[in-house]
Amino acid sequence: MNSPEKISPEKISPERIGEENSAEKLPAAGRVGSLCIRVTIHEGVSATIVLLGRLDAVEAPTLRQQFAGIFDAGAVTVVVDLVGVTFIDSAGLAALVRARRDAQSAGGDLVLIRPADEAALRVFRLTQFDEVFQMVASRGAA
Amino acid sequence: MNGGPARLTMSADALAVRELGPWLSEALAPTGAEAPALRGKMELAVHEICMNIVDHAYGGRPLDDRTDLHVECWVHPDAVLVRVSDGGSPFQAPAHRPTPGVAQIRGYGLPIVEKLADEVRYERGNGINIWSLRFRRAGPDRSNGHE
Repeated sequence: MNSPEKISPEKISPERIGEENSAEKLPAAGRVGSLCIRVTIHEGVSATIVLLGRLDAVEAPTLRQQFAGIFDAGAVTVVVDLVGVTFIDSAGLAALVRARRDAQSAGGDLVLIRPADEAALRVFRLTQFDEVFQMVASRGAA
Repeated sequence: MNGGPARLTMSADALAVRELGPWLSEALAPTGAEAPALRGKMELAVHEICMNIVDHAYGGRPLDDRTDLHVECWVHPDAVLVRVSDGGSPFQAPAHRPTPGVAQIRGYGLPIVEKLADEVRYERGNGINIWSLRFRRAGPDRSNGHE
């Protein structure tokens, strides 16, 4: 993770970070709380995903697609930055569990940066996934 | 909560379920300083119930073949009660429940609800599914081991 981050434009989801205020581009209900996703591939072997907003059943399929793109690109070690996530439900959790399984199957792993918001951390505690995932406090510790 | 419960009616789809959070904030206003903590756990619990309905009670049905979801909330001095009702297929308990701390992909919704709420009850009558959740309010002698 020492190389400079190169953001791959083709890997950035339509709801990109920095465009979260472009409310007119989102459907009305989407303004209630969409998820912004930024993917950075590091020399093809590792990747960082930064998530901002709400990771729920609406957003989980998009996140799964992003993970699939990362693994297709050959990255197997993935850091998921959840610091800016405000809510995670069981569907969002499932997307992370699936990605961890896929990363480990490929010889890598999935590391989570702990959410700052208690509402987002709650689902990990309730399911004891805070003991299953490798969770760290900051990206520097990943 | 004079004059009856707070009520929310929404279509049975995942996007509409996002209305729960803002609605709960208003419904829980009478609880005062307790509201943020109550909202945090209640939103996740009621969200999981509603998503279970969207996925299973209406799973596979087109949107125009789904009846609305109805959510009601009563604030009492010792507890907050929530009732979720729908006209979808009857609930069927999953055959397998996940083991806490063991990674598997599905089946966490209802166990999460059961950990957040002090009581969870399901009943069906006249073609209507009714989920009733009870959340004890915080108090000096109300520690219950739940979150």
